[in-house]
Amino acid sequence: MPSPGLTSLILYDFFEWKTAGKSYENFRDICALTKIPAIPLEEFETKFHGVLKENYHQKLNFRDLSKINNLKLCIVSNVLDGKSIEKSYKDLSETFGADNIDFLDLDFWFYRFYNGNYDLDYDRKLDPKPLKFLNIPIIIHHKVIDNLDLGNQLTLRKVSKSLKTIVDQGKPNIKNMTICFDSTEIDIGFNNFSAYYSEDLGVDYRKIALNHVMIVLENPKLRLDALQIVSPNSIDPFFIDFLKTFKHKISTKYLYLDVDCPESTMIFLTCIMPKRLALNKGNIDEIVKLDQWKCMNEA
Amino acid sequence: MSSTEQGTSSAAPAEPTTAPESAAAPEVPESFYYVHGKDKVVHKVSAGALQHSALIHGMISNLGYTEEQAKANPFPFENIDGDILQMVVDWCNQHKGKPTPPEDTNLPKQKEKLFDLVLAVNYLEIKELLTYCCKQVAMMVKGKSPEEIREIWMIPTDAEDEAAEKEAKKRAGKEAAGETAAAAGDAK
Repeated sequence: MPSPGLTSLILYDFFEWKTAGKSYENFRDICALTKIPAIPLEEFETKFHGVLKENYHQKLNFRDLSKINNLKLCIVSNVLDGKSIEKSYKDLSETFGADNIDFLDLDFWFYRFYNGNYDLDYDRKLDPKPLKFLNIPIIIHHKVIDNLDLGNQLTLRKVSKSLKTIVDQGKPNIKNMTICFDSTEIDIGFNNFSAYYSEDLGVDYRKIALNHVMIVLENPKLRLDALQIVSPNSIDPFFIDFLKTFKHKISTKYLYLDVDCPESTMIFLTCIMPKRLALNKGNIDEIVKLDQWKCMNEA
Repeated sequence: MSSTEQGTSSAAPAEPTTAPESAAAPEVPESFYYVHGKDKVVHKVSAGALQHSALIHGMISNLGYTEEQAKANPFPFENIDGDILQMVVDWCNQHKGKPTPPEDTNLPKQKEKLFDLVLAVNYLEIKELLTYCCKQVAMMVKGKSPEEIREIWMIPTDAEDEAAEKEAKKRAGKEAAGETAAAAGDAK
């Protein structure tokens, strides 16, 4: 039975202006290298003229003929002819159509043959799998992500859920954070970025906004320089519930609190550990009783 | 500077007998150790260069691994590709006894090589080189779009992740079923 790539090789040789005799010589050389069984000259000539006839009547399926398993003999032929990879790609594209030639496959097999590996049955699934970013240890993920500014870290979160989880577990590159509550909108600022969540979004904008804030605040690695919380009204109950269940203290050098609700002020103060505090409203008698008061440098 | 040296420097002509001890002391010959990676190619590295690797340094100092023992049995790092180990050895040799610069432009630009290098450096505990590598990996995606990042770091999409998870669950289920069947067979 003729080799699966023989039809492609004959067609390719024909496009290269080789006669049946020259093509047979080429085929025999390829058989000697690749250890595939050769066929007698008469059988080859019959096949050769058969392919030319089918080509003339446009009965050949070029898409099938240019599949990599059918193309390997042509690639060996190119290597034997001393063609470069570029010339090889150009010539194969002229015969089979550029759309049908996968350059990456061609590149792999070309250099494999070029280096003297003529095993046509080599299974590429056995190739070592390239190491991907997610395959490296999580401690390194965090070391890498620490090198990126907030804008790039936020872009990483959009790539996939798995990368988003990694970013959220790492140290956020946020130094200044502002949360401004209003009756109709919430403004959140991270460093130089700010986002406005308002009724215009047509969804539960308060929950979405505060969820984003909560993801950042519940990260124990967060080290802020300044945190500013402003609210002329009482804070959303679910955000208060979140703060009440907080397991660690938010670290910030400076805290500015302007909340028109003494109870909320106290809740904020119990879960934030500032070095300096600026307070617009609040019961100072209650505040001085907190542990945070002892650790504060300036109020 | 010791008091003896201070005294010497204030005296007009320095006498040879008062010269600092280190200058007169005979130079200690540098000791060398041997390492090999997956390809079994042995690399000769000086003890000074190996100081960068906390892992190898620990093996030498804590386990009392001598130069002779190291020559007969090079440190085997079967989990590190030969070309990657060569890069690590070259870096350690280049930065032997020198303060490490804030940037290192000689790191590989190909992502696969860089990820392999990161793994090797993390394993060998070479802190400074790991810092450079992590910075280089981060710079690969700086200013890129999510789609570009996915391609550069080869991050699977959520759909691919879900499919892989399903497949893993299916395989685990099959394996568990196979183990149960084998246990039942043994019981009979």
